Amino acid sequence: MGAGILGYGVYIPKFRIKREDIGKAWGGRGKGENSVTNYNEDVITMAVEASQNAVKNSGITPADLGAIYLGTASAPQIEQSSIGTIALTLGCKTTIDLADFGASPRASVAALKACLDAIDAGRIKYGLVIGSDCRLGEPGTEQESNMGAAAVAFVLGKGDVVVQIEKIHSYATAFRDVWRADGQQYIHIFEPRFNREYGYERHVRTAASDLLKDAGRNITDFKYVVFQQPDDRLHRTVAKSIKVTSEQMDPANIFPVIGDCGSASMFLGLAAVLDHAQAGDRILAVSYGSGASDALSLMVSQQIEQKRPREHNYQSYLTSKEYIDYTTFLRHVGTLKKPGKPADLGIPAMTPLLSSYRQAPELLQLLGGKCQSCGYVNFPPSEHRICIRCGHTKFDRVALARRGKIHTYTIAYVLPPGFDETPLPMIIADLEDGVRHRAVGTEMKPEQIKIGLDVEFVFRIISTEDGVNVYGNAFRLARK
Amino acid sequence: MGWNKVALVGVGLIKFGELFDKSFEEMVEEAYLNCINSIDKGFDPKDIKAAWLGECNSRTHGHASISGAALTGNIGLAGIPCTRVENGCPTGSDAFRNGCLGVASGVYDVVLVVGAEKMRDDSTANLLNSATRGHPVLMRGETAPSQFAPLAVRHMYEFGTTKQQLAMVAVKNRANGALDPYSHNQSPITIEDVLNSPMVCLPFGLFDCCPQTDGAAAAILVRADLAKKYTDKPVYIAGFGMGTDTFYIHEKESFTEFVATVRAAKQAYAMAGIGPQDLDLAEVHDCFSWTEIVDYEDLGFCPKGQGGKFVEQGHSKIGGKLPVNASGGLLSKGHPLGATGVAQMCELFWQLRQEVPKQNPKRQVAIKKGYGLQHNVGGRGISNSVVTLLSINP
Repeated sequence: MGAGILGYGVYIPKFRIKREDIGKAWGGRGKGENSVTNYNEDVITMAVEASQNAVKNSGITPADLGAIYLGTASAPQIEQSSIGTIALTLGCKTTIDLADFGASPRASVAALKACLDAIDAGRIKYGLVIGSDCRLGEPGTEQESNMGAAAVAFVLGKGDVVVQIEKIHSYATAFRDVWRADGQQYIHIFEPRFNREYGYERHVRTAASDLLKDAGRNITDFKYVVFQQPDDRLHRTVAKSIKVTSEQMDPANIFPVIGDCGSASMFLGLAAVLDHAQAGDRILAVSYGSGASDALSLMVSQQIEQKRPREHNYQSYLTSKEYIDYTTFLRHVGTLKKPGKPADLGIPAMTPLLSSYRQAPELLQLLGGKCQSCGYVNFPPSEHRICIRCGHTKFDRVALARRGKIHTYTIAYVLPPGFDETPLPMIIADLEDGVRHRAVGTEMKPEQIKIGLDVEFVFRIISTEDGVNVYGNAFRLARK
Repeated sequence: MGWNKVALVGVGLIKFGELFDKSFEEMVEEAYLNCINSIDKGFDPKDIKAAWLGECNSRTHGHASISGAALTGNIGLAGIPCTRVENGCPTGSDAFRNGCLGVASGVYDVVLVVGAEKMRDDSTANLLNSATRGHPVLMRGETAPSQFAPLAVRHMYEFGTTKQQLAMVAVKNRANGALDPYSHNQSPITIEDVLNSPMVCLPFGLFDCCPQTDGAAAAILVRADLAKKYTDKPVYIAGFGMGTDTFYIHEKESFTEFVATVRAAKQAYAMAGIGPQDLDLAEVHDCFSWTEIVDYEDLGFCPKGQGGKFVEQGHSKIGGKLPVNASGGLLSKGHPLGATGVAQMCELFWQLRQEVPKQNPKRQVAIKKGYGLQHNVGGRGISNSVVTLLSINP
């Protein structure tokens, strides 16, 4: 039997904007809502949390992974791989095969196919595939009202799969619709009707119909049908033409509550379905992006009962939400910026690239140096080669606990350029392993913060210099 | 009693404030001239054999790499040794301490210590840029207030210290500052003013914070046995101490004290052979209102956790059992980092010699035992402190 999905994990940012509020700003209307990244989130940070969930749910360890393939159309850099940071943060081996798939919201499915091939060819045993996107539409356009943000990760391999991949059928042409040129922040489209009829509808319908024909199946053989959802309407038109019922597709209906999350769109619909699916359910999943579509026939196995995430699942991310207004939305996504140029990171010249090279493992994976003599956990270990408590020089590398209680804190209301999230909490917490740590707080309101509250680490952008992000861990209030 | 190997024979201060019309060099010259011209029996600058300059923020006045020559080269003393000291908030007091060590070593009989800082040639946003400097993750967002504030929050949590008690420090010091002609802030404020001031960094409102200030101060230190050549009323260095702590804030074992202060005070008291009960007054580091409350505890003025009550009961006001910051403190004078510690020495010099009435009689504290304490704490991670004990007792 071929490779399948061993486990899955999702991530949806906490913030939502109602499309009505975007509409109001431009004299229009809107219904439903979109997920919005925080100031300190991007494709990489979202991918990390989804991947951590997926690895945990799959029952393997990061060291078991032979490959990670990321699909995204909104990577933070045009040139500079995103996947290395993700792999290091997860704690993967350096022999791992890493690849960035891009240029289309279908990139994640291209990544999935490549990973399945690598497993079936015997080149790797386990692989991680991620779809992560936070694309932006130009202010005042329909695309602005439609874009959401999310990440989904699948661990692939053979053995105790939760989903078998029965068949994949692709349909690709030279059709060109959505684009974002080098240097542009927003996606653009030419003509909606042209895109609809000759782009999404034709490709998705053809890929799905051909798959059915090829596999000798009827649409009624599928309990669920999951579509890529660039808006609330396109997939319904296709569904009608190939006779998909609302019972089949409504469980994967993510657009009204998340928006168009690009490379994560079809994956997120699939994750939403898997949270409820039963062994023996057959699923049809169809992607679309940039003139190409893939239709997948999937079969849910017995393992789903054990491996279905009970916490940190689609439903829990969906309900952990906070609404923001349009102005705050514009600030979150970087359209509105505080005036002034942020100061450089100072002396000694700790450029983000240098410091993240020197200190990346300890900062991304949160590793301390535990003194073999007195037991004090020194952090950062690269700077403390001599125990600051006792002067001993032999250490064991230990991973810090991911949760703790607030020992004390402050909230800065006055900060220089470069600090978007103000007021900014700074948290000193005693972790569950007794180690004391300090990090900025995120997604906590001043009135919520109290000494003694439970907090957990969350992977975020901590600072930025010359467009290069420094990643690290922040604290957020502990979640289920 | 006291170490008393070195004596302070003259001090000079300039009016602190937003000195947009004065350069760094002018401030230094004015403080130096005020100092040597005020020495009781006259002073010949040729007697100065070495100098120390306390200065932190050199990039703000155009010196890419400032040296001690920024002092001696500007006051007609080019030629003598001069060391620039940069050491966080205790920069001025550490320059003074190094001057004492220079004289006590026997190498120099007479030395000059000048502390000066141009804080106002920089924008407030630039001063806050410490928030982006240092470790890009561990120090993200760390400004002066945001490094003191988590300890204030914990102190309030553990000991019930209140925002009102913090405000009482600001009100007391601003009242004293209104009597000090050298002070930046010259107006008294009320508890309501402090409590209603805009939030800077929880729990500090604007009036819980010292202002952004330019200033300079100077002092002449001599071998104790030569002091009478310059004045009949020398002030002796009874003792000093300096303590350090771990560098990152998360490495602190206690968030209700500054260990650096405790260590510095312990050394200074031991060197002088006295204790806090022997003090007539203290000039302590009150960069933020709460800092003075924890100073009371760290310096042994009151038991741990009682700092809030100490100010509430009026013990630290002029006329109280131990007047603290009769000058108005940093909250009134401001905190030009290099100048602050030396300016505190100026105040103690005048108070111990009972010369404050020349400025304003209401500000003179009663001198009974003849000891005064100077204190600074700060630097990145609030990890260094200097305590100096001055005395009129030979």
